[in-house]
Amino acid sequence: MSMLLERIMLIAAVTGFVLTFVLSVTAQKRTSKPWWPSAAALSLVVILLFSVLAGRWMREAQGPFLTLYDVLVSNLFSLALVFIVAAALVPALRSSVVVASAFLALLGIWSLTLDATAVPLPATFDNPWLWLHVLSGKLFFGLCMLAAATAAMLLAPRPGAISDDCDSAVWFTLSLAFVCHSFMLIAGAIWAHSAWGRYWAWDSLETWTFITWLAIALLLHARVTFRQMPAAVGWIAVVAIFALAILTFLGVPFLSIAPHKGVM
Amino acid sequence: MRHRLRKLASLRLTFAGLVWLVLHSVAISQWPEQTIPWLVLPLALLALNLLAAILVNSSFRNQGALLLFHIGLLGIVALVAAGIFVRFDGQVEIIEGQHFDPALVRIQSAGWLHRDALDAVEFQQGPIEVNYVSGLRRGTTHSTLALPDGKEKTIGDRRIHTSGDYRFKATFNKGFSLLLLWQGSDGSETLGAVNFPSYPEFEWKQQNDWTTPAGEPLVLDLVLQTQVSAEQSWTLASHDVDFDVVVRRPNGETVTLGPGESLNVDDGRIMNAELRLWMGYRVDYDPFLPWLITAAFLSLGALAAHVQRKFRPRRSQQPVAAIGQGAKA
Repeated sequence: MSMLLERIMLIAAVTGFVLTFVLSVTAQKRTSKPWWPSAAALSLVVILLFSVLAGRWMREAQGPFLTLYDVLVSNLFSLALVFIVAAALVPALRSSVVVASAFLALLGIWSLTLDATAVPLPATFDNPWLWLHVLSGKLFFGLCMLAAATAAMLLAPRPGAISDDCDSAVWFTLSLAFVCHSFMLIAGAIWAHSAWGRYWAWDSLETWTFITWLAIALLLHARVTFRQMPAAVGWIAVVAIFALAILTFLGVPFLSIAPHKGVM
Repeated sequence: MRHRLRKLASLRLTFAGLVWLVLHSVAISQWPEQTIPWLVLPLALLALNLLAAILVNSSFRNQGALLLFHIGLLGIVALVAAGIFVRFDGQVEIIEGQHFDPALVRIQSAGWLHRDALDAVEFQQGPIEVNYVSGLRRGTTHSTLALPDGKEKTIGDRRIHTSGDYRFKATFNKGFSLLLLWQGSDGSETLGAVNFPSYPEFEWKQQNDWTTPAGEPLVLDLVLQTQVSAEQSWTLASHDVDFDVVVRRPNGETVTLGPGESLNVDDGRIMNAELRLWMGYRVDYDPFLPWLITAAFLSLGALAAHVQRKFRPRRSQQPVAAIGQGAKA
């Protein structure tokens, strides 16, 4: 796939996120709140992004692991895929498509502003634990987005009673995200030990990833400790944790030139 | 006693301990060289809180997966702490053909209870090759070691050498080493090596000082006739390298020595004998690592089982509980 075609397909995918957002807002205004138009648009975007990634992977002969552009585009794909699969399985999550598609559209617009030039992967990236580390990280990020988007929808003022299912879905997806985050930490430590001879070095990304893990543990504990805590406080905290995750995974690593300092 | 234990097992104390740990972790992001002092107190508080909860809280004990997850976390903290007491972390540079010498290891950190057993480590450095791809990006590293049993082992990016629980990991740090033959006026001969700065990272300053056995300080510049290529792939190796050495003496004399050429200096002569490569290794020792990985996976499996149990669909259609709900109340 040529760079030009990749660019055109990425623009189409970002447009698809915007279209999904418009369709989901329109659906929210209707009493039946149909899910299928948003689902169809999002599925199309997932296929487009898969094609972008596959084409780029074949052209560059390496996975999307290193540059901010690679990480963002692969995140767009994984976040949209996690969302569509989870929403298909858990109907209570579907209303969050409004927030999720808006977030993904912003992320997509950001990706369009970045340099798409590929940078060769260091030899230390040729490791199966890296795959497990990245896959579990993407699952964590997707599930965390789902929890936050659903929590944000619950926080939005709207008529009618709040569904218990939606609240449960928030905590279920956040708990699953916690499991994936834990696995990401373990797989990352094993990869780091293989690549650099140490399993943990408190570099910026490692430290903030640990802080994100602690923040989720703190919130899950707070929910047990302070049972009378208003539900809205918990939802705000879930959104805050996702904001922290964005800062950690899309902000901290790219203050240096690669996701982990020292990998070059 | 039990009343005090109940207070120590309080969930509010867990919350406070976690907040403390978060704040100290944020502090670590600013002052990463102070990790242990920042972590000890909150982790100790959380460990005591958890031990007390295990002792006095029967509902917590009855939730097997949740209990196992927390015991796993305790195990991780204990194993990391034990590792800090016995671990060793050092660096060593070894030249092709040189036998490993523990005296050359520069200690980065060593635990109070670490018993040095590096004397038992034996191997000889064999050929080194590092491949580069266009853009001066490091590709694969191959460092061959000759082991005492006569076998050879090639280590590199994914493979480390382990000897007596010490792990030798080839690093990005490597460069050229000039072998100089010193012939004293008394007839003595000594072969020595001068390591130049890491290559190609410091291609622009391949220079080092060396003082002859007679005490004359010399400045040596390694001049490579082939420049590194940023456009195409190439391999860093010690064979087929076209080079000269520029020797600068204190009296201002500057002489260029090709391979095999000699220079008369005070009380003897030096000969440009050979150019080899040196490889930098990270040497580390932590015998608890396999147990640490086991504890981490055990903990993870227990957490996954707990989440699955808490959120599985129930016939009664009651609202699902949060993770850990009712655990240590």
